[in-house]
Order: sequence, then C-alpha cells, then structure tokens
Amino acid sequence: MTTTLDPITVEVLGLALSSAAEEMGETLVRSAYSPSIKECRDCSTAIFDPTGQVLTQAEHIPIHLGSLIGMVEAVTARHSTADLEPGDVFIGNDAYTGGGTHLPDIVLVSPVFFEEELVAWVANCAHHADFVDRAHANIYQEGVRIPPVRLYAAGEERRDILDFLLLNCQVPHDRMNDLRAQVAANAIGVERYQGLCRRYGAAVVADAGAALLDYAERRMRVGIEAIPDGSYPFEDTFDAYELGDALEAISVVIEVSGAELTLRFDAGPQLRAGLNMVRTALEATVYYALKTLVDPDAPANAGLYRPVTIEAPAGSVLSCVWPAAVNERMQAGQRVVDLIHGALAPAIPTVVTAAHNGSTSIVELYGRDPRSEQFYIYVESLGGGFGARAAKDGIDGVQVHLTNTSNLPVECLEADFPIVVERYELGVDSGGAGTWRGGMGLHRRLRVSGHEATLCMHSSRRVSAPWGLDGGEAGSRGRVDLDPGVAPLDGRGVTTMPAGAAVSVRTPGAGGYGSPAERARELVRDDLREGRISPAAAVDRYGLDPTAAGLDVPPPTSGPAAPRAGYTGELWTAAEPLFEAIIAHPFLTGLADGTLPEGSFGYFLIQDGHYLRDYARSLAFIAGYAHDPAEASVFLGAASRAVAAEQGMHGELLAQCGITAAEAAATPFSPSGELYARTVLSRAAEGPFADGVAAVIGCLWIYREVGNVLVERGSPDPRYQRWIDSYSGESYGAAVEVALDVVDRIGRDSTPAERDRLKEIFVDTCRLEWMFWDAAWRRESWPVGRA
Amino acid sequence: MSGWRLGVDSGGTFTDVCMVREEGGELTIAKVPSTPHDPSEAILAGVAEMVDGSPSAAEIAFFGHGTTVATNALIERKGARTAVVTTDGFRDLLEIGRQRRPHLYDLQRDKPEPLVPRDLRFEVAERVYLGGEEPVQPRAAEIDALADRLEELGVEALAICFLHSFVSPDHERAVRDRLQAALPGVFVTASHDVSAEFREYERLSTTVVNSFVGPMMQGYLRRLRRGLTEAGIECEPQITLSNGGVVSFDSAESSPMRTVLSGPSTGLVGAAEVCGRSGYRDLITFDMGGTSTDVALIRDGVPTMRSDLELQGHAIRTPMLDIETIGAGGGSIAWVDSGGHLRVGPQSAGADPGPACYGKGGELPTVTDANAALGILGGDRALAGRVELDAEAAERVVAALGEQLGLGLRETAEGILRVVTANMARAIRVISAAKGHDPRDYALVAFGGAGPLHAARLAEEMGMSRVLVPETPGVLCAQGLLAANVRTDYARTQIVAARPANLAEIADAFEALEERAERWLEEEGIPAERRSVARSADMRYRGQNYELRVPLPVSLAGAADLDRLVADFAEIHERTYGYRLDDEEVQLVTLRAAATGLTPAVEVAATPAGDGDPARALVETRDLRLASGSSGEVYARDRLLPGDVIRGPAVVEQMDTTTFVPAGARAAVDPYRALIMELPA
Repeated sequence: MTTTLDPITVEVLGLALSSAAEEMGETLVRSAYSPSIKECRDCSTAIFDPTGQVLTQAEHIPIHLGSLIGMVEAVTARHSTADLEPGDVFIGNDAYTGGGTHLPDIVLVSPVFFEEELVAWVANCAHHADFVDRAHANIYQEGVRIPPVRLYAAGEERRDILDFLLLNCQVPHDRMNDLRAQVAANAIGVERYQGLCRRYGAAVVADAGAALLDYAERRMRVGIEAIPDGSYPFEDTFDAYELGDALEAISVVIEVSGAELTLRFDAGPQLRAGLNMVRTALEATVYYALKTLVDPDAPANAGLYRPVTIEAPAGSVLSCVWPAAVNERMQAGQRVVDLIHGALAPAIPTVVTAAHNGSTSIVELYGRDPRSEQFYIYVESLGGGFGARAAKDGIDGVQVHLTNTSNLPVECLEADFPIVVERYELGVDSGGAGTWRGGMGLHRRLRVSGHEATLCMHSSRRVSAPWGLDGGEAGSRGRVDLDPGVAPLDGRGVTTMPAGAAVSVRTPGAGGYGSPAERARELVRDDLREGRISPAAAVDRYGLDPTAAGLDVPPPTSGPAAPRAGYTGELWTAAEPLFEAIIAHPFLTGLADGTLPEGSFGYFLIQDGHYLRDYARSLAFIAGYAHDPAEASVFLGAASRAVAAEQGMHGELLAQCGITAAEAAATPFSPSGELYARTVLSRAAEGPFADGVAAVIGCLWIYREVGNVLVERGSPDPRYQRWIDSYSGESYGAAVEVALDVVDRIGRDSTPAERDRLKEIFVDTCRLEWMFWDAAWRRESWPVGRA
Repeated sequence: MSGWRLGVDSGGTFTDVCMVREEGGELTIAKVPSTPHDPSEAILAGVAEMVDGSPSAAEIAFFGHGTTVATNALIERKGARTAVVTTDGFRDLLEIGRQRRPHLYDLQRDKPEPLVPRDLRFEVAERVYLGGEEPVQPRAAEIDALADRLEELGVEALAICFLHSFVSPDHERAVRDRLQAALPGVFVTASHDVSAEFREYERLSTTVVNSFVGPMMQGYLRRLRRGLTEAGIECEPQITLSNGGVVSFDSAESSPMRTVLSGPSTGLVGAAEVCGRSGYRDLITFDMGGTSTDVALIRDGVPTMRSDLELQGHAIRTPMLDIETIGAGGGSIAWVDSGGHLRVGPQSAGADPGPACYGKGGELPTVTDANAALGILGGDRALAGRVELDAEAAERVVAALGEQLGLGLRETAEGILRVVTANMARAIRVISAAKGHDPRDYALVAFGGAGPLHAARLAEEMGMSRVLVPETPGVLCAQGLLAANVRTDYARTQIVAARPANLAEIADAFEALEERAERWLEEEGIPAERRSVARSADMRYRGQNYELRVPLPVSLAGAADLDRLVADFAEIHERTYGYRLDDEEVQLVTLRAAATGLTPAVEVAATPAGDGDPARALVETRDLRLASGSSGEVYARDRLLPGDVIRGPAVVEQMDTTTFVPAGARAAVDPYRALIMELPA
C-alpha cells in the first residue's frame, strides 16, 4: 500500500505509537502480581492494524512476538468482526487455536474503535507462573488450553469464563490479579490510540500505520542487499532433559538473493516432549535473528517480514502441528538464532556473534510454604554467556536472544518463597577461549528451607557445547548439581528436594571468536587477575607463559584452597608432597579424563563404602572426647555426612556401575583399606581428642582438595562427575573448613612437642590415603586366601 | 538582620552566580567561565565579583550551591579506587545487576564496566535469613585479614552491602566499624546507611556510587568551604541534593551520591518558585539545552519525586526529583535513515564545531540550523549575545538534507522541528500521562537556551494551552538555590499490612524516623518554627512489587485514619494504573519522613505595568519562513513591560534565549516580567 503521507508525519506517528505500546508495558509491569511479570518483566505489548499486522511491539521479550503475530487472526477466525464491540477483551493462549506459542503466555487482545469503526487492536502477552507439575507428551498435558474467548464483553467482565479459567490454575489468586493488570494495560493502549485518532484523524493514523510497515520493509531490504548473495548452510544439535543424552539435529540453509532472503530449516519429526515450536514461534525467532543481523534499529513491525521467506517441514520440531507439546519451545528457539548467525558468519563475519549460551535455563521449585501453608510456585530463568563478537568479548551473565527477563532480587525471592539463595556468581572459565572471549555463564545455588519441595529443571547445552567462530573455542556446558542424598533428576528434569537440600545450577558460557593464541596478552592477564579465567586456563588455553603468569596470579577461587595460616598451614606444608602424589595418581587423572576403568571405580566405591562405615565411627568417637559442644557437633556432623554419603551417593553410583548391594557387602575389605580404617579408628577410639582429630582430618581435607582440583578439569563420565561434584560442593567445603578451624585451635593450645607428634599422626594417615587410591587402581586383593 | 542570599550553579561551561536581597528581592546575576579542573575556583571568583563591598561578605546570610562534581566523576569514571564487600556468594552481584543485556537487538553494544573490578570485590562469610534460620555472624579474624588485604591493595574507598541489611543492619554495621577503624583514611559506605530499602542490586550499586565519588566530593567541599571562609562568608554553606532541597556541606560529605541530580533539581525548584510567584502551581518543566533536555512535573507547587535512576548504567536509589532526560537538544543532528525517514539525534554537533550556522565548520544540519533556516533565530542580533549566526550556512545544510527527502527548505526545516518535538513529547508522556497526570491540566514552563524556542510547538503537540517563559530562563538554577528548603529524607523498608492491629507498629516506626529527622534539623540549626517533617508511605496491594507513594494523614491514631490512608492509596492506584482492588490487603512497604527546614520567602516586588504597547521593544520585522506566513515581529525581551501583549508569529530575543510565539498565539508580560503565552485551542 502506498501512502500520500510525508515521511515526517509518519515518523512522528511512529514515535507516538511506540510510546503508547511502552506505556502499556509500564502499566502492566508496575501493577502486576506475579514476580515473573513485575520483577522479571516477562511480558510484551503491541499495537496492530485492523487486519492484525503488528504496527509496533514494545521492546520486552522477542519470543512473545510469536504469541502476538497470530493472535488477531485467531480471534477473527472465531469471531465475526461485525459482532465486536468497544470494551471487548479477548483472552487466549492455545498454540493451535489461540495464537499462542506455549500455554503460560496468556495474551489479552482488545479491538480499538473510533467513531464506531474498528481502527486497530492492542494486545499484551504475559508469562504466568502457573501450570507446573505437568507432563509434556502432548499439549493437553501442559495446562489449560484457551481459544480466543471474550474475557470482557462490551466492558463487562465475564465472571463465568474467569471462574472456569481460575479453577484450572494452580495459583488462582495471582492469576486473577495479573489478568486485571493485563486488562488495564490494554485499556491504556485503547485510550492512546483513540487519542491519536482524535488529534490526527483516523485515516491519517491508518495511513501512517501502512507507511510504517513500508518503511520497515525498505530498511530490511537495504540491509539484506548489503549481505553478499549466496547459499549459506549451518547445522547444530540440541539437547534437553527429555531427550536424555541424545542430540536432536537441526539445520538451516539461508539463500540470500538481492534484497530477499529465504531460510530453509530442517529438523526431525516433532517430539513427544515439550520441545516443539509452532510455526509462529519459529517466525518470531527468525524475525528476531534477522533484526539483530540486518538492522537492529528497524521498527519491530510486520513490514520486517515481507522480504523474508521461511520454510520448515510441518510436523517437525521447528514447525510442529497439533497435538505436539510446546512448553519448552525456547530451547530449540535459542538454538535457531545461533543457527542463523552461524550460517551467515561467512557472509557477514563482523556482524554475527559466536554461539550464545543457547539454553533457556529455568529453575522451578514448588511446594507448600511452611510459613503460610500456601502452595507456591517459584520460576526463574537464568542468564548465561553472550557470544563473542568479531572485535569484542561476549558479555558475562546476561539473558540472550529470545528472552530478556530480569532476575528476581534475592531479597524479594527470599521474602516471597521459602528458598535461600546461597550463591549467585559468574562461572570461572565458562567463557569460550578466543581472541575475543565468550561471555561467562552463571552459577546460582538455591536451598529449600524448612520444607520439602519439587525441583523441575529446564535447560539445554548440557551435552553439546556453545560453538566458537574462526578458531574460537566452545563455551562451557551447563550443569546441575544436587546435594548428596537428593535423587537425580528424572527424565523430565524433576526431583524431590528434602528440607535443607540445595541445587547448584551452572548455566552454559558462550563461544569465543578467533584463536585464543591471538588474544592480547594484556587481556589474558586482566581476565586472570579478575579471576574470570583460572591460571590453568591462562596457560593451557591461551598459552600464557606460566612464569610470567605466576607474577600476578591471584589465589584461585576454586582448585586447591588458598594455603591456610596457623597450624593447619604447617600441617599442609608437611603433607604437600603426598598430596601432589595423590593428585598425580593415575586413578585420579583417569577419573578426570574418563579413562579410569569402570572396574577400578566400582572397586573403589565398594572399598570406600567399607571405609566410610569405620570412618563414621571414628568421627563419632572423637565427638565423644570433645570438651567443647561446638567442636563435638563438628565431628558428629561429619559422621552423619559420612553415613549419608555411604548410603546415598554410593548406593546410586554402585547401581550405575551394575554392582548390587549384596555383591558389595560380600566383597572383603582390601589390605590397605583395612589398615587405613583400623589405624584411624584406633587413634580415635583411644583418644585423646587431639590425636583422634589429627588422624581423621587428613581424609576430610584431601577429599576436598581432590574434589576442587578435579571439578576444574571435569569428567566426561557422568558417574565420575557425580562423585567429583559431591566433594567439590560448597557445603562439603564449608564442613571441612570448620573442622580445620578446630585443628588450628588445637595447634594454638598445644606445646611444640605435642604439635610435632600430631603432625606425625597426620602425615602417616596421608600416606595411607595415597595407598587407598593406589589399591583401588591396582584392585588390590589379599595375596593369600583365608584357608 | 536583613541580608543577601547567594546562589551558585556550576555548569560545564559557565558558573552562574545570582544574588538577591531578602527584602525587596533585588536580583543581581553574573556568569563566569567554569573551571572544570576545580569548579571551586570559578565559584570563588564569581563570589568575589558579587561581594565586592556592597554588600560585604559578612552580609551574605545564605550561600547555596548546585554542583555536578559527583555526576561528572561518575560519568567520566574518575572516582576513587573502590572495593566492594558483600555476603559470601555475591561478589558478582554488582556486575550481573538485573541480568539484562545492554540492548535487545543491537548485539554490538556493551554493558558499562562496573565501577569496581572483579578482583576488588570481596566476600565475607555472613548471612541473615528471613525464614527463622540462625544468622551466620561475620568473624572478626576474617574481617581483620580483609582489612590487611585492602590496605595492601591501596583501596581508597569501600562499599559494604550485605543481603537483608535493610531489615537487619547489625552485620553491616559491625563490619563497617571494624574496617573503618582498621583503615582510617578510607571512605567507607555501608548500604543501610545510604539506602535502607530492599532489592539488593540497586542498594549495592547506590552504595558503590557513593563510595566511588566520596573522596573526591569530600575534598571538593572542604576546599570550597575553606575558600568561602577566606572570602569572609560566615554563614554555613549549603548544597543542593537530587531531592531539590539543600543540606549543609557536612551532611553532604557522607552521602555524596545524593547530589547526582543537584544541578537540574535546583532548576526545577527555581521554576516552581518563579512560576508560583506568577500564580502557576501545576507545571510541566521543559529545560532544553544544546545536547540534552530535561522535563519534569510540578503539582501544586511541588515537583514529583522518584526513588531511583540509572545514570550511565549505574543504578542509584535515593529520593530525587522525577526528571526525565533525553539526549536531544539544539545541537542534535538531523539525518535520513536507510528507510527514508527523517531522524533527529542522538548524535550531536556539540559545541565544536556546533551547528552549521555557528560558522565554525559544522556541515551537518542541526535543530538550531532548522530554526535559523526558518528565520526564527538570526537576523541582525547575535545569538545569546555571543555568536554571530550564519543563516546561509544553515539554509545550505538544511536544503541539502531536503534533497535527500525530496522536500523543500521550509518543509525540511519544519520537519526537523516536528521530529524533535515528537521526541520531546515522548519524554513528557513518560512523566505525565504514564503516571496518571493529564498534561492538559498543566502549563509548560520553558527554560534553558533552547526551551523557549520550541515550547509552543511542544505544548501544541501535547494539547497544552499555556506556556510560561520566566524572566531569566538561563539562570533558573541559580535562582532555585535562593528558594530551596533545607531537606533530607529518611526511609526504612518495613513491610506491614495496613490493619488496625498494626497501628502501633506503624506509629512506632514513624516515630523513630521522625526522631531522626528532628535530630537532623536540630543539627542543621533550623529554628523550631521553620521545621516541618512530612510523612509518607510507599504502599502496594499485597503481592505487588512496585509501590506508590502516599502522603500520610495528619494523624495516624485510629482505624479511621488508616481507612483514609488506604482509600488515598486506592485512589492514587486507580489514577496511575486505571484500576483498584478493594478486596485486597494493602501493605505499607517503605516508610518515609522528609525533614524540611523552610527557607523564609523572599518578597519580590512586582514591576509596574507599562502602557501595554510592545512597540517600544520592537527590534525589526523579519522574514519568517513559516507555513503560516511570511514575516513576524522581533522584540527585545528586556524592553518589554508588564501588560504588553504580543501576537504571533513573533520572536522575543534576550541575552540567554529566544522565545518563539507561533501564529495564533498571544503572549502577555505579567507583573514579574514572565511571558505567558496562550495557544489557540
């Protein structure tokens, strides 16, 4: 459609329309109820022409465009425009009939009338934290499906519809008030649009709308013309809990021809899992990606799409059909954006970015709040690495691509939910190495307080890693670590968290750009000084000269703990050669690189189980000798942890190694194991307190150091990784720390002669510790039988 | 004793000094070049110029100062070497912030670097829990080791922020005291001291900003005070805060982040004062300069407040006047984008080369050039009395732009003004309509070098019918200092349901705040009869996370008072968001007490009316290339007298600005020489 309006009037009206959409968004955020809208801003607003073309979208969440572009069409498919009345508000969320892309995103759309003519539509989409504890084989399991129906008819709330919906929501009170905020946001949009009609005339505003679409199209065409013609293929894989360790292949071929662009996607058939994208979600994803590459400043309206053709097999993961489940459509969506950047990398290398973290890392915890006895749902999406650029590092710890939600402040979270946030930090070494480093992932550790809760994790890039470009290395994968004693996540990413249990979520980093060897040395040293990379990475990944690096290497944040002062420092110095020998032992290097034979690991687990039973008794004896109740509780705690480890993690890992409990019990204690366990036990049982402490501390301490060193290296074998994680976790480290404080206290209160004697006991147990690992490596047995 | 009041506003280019006699309101104004390396030099020079014997320094009864020292330190990142101390596990909070990326679609943008690098961010094992778990106390040995480390690192300032310190400040206080004792020369800020409100990132960021600018601000204030004492000024000097009030230098030294909006806030207070004199109390202010524009809303003589701001990507939370700033001004460059639309800004020609019409080599068309091309600026008189305008250069660059658009010179120049006006209108909607205030109920007051030039167009765009241009729109900031009240705000987050059962708790909390407020007024030496403490509460429906500020009724003694408070809240909620939820519980979230020491009003005498004929002020009749006509009268502002009425199209010129009166509008001079412009409906 051509227009006779001058470009200045169009620009002026464009500004007015976007400020109306922004005002709708502000109203929604400020007056909503659920944290996902009010703090995290997981909502979007838009204005449409009478035919449903998007005229403007406020800058909130790009994927929401998918729920908005189909909405008006979905309404008019069911409701005659002749029956529309001022004050009507339609509600919908269904991916197949309601214009939506997944059920929690509920859209409210209102027709705008001026002088009795339908002149526009306004809509807003908000993510409602509801519909949890569902299955995802098909969409019927995912929540209540809402086709577009009137929530308000001619300004009157339809209580029956509302009641029906609320009955199907798990937190109805919040839903009702969020919906009211959504209604208020649309009312503002209606009023503003009518105001523009009054001031400029409805025909002028309509012409300006049409001209704005033409304008966006022109800008896109100019941008596409700047991309060299050609055919650009790219492929990647994605993973999710529902897929287990399997990888789903997705690919694209982008044809650029003059001012037009065609994207041909390919992907496997739609899955019986909530990972599928409906066509409109794919479209919103493509439009987002192209806007970042072609013209970030172009207005977000339907004119953008005109020079773009999208092909994807219907019934595939990327363009699913009824009744596919769609809840986690973002996992594939985030990957599609990277796919498009990857494809166009050869054509426009300075514009694209290396892979972003590629995961929509969502933590859901729900249960009954012990403070109020109310059912609560906590849902939060965590950011991660932002990919490196051709001449800049990526960005550390942010939301990327299709989402842009804010985090929930810890002080709001802990007030609203019975959950404690223990850590929230950047992940060392998570950014992919490169001339330009990929952005760092995040680590958030959450503990459920005083009640049992259900944890449901959604994430991707746990198996495949975010790729780098032009020689840049991949970013780190994501990881979820549960406290010992918590059952592993099931195939839906779900587990039960007992009261006091914690989960550590590490989101993926992002890919680097260019060879790490080319990175300016100054930047490598800066990263090292700031602890964004470890000394090992500076040397191994970036080739930094270790002696030069040693000059200003800070004490690493993980790995061997900073040398302690006081008596424990003295002990450590005495045992350091033994510790180094342990770390260098093939059993442990094999554990880290995955080459450790499964048999050795199984043997170790059985022996460690035997050992832990005696060790727990030793700790309990020591507690008995303690004079200070606080010190007693340190060792009682350690004793109960040893029992829990033996019963919890060991049992599961044994099962994963195919060893039954009966087999384990029937296997005799090894000579070295028995020697070690009995030596410690006799020291502990005989007393005094200090001797017992000197005998048990070595084992506690060395396991922490081993855990910390190995966690940096990581292990490709999930079973080995599980073991490493349990000894590198903060809670284990903190328990060791308080025990070491006791040792320091003993050192202060002892004579030099006593200190020397205790040191000897300690070093002897460290030597037995080495023998224990070695015995597992050799699968040591008694040289002669009993008979 | 009747004395003189002295106000100094130090800006980037000029330092404005303004003096008024407390009796009669006689006003003297001086401008001296600023000395950015140490702004106190220019201030002392300006003061010396004013108090050269008549009056004498001893006759100065009030010295007020608006400063950008803290703001500039922040913008230029030239603050102290600052370290952060947080709860264990949260060293990266400052950097992660709210986890949002810098731009939704532009992937080449960067987040601003945090003010404190990662290796200067430290964690302390301590924790307060909300769910009844035992707190983890900070350990003295760990703090002592940290102090050693900080000393070794040569840290100059320190920001301490622990989780939940707004409810339980004990840990923060203990660590603050121990570190301060160990590091006596270091500027230490604890978060609960500067912002006792929830949301840890915003509180931490505010704390960091305070420490980052602290040492520099402290040095500056001490230098300036010494200079003033040497100059013989005996009164206690005052400085403006972002809340529009003034406090003593001593008060400002400990929390300099409260001065980040010192400059523009003073202007707003000046506008409220000057327009109040003319009888206007509901105002939208429009302060347009060369590179940026500030707008704000004044309701019943009082500027509206906000509680947070993002400056250069750094969150700052402190009570401040609600000023919306956009990066567009007279120097903004007009250009045609790839889709063929005319755009204005964000690039600016700055002062050098400046607009093409300044003749300093600028070749890109700016907003000022559009005005020059239309003949609104220019003629025989020099702009601002300083720069000779090259109208031909303006026409040349605007015409060249027009060729790209297929438009003539006049349409292009008009177009530039329309687009820049639309940008300004967006900012005005943010502070008015988006917060429930209909702009049509307000008068637009224009100041700054370019405000009066564009005010009529902007008012028209917003459907506003009246524009005020004060007598001296260029020095409102300095004038504001003469009217600013002494003020400090106290706040405390304490979430409590608005139920009669909680009345005692609420009353006690307010009492504690009021006590602090009274004590402060006492310390500032405010006589009892001029003290006022206004109480308000940030309220919400239970479950919401954003609050609305509600003034407290005079008494909060019984259930009826509480009902009224809740009713007031519901009304404000409805006005702001368009709905209310009468069956929901209402909560008080943050309780506030604003301590004010009222400044005695200066009696300003009205100017006697003239004969009503502006002909005495007529400079020339000039060709104006306006859509509506060909020529208009040009008047000299300083020769206009009360009672004069000008009909548009016309231009009124004065030293520091030019006012444009469009066709159909009439502008009258009021008894205080303000120009009151009425626009056709």
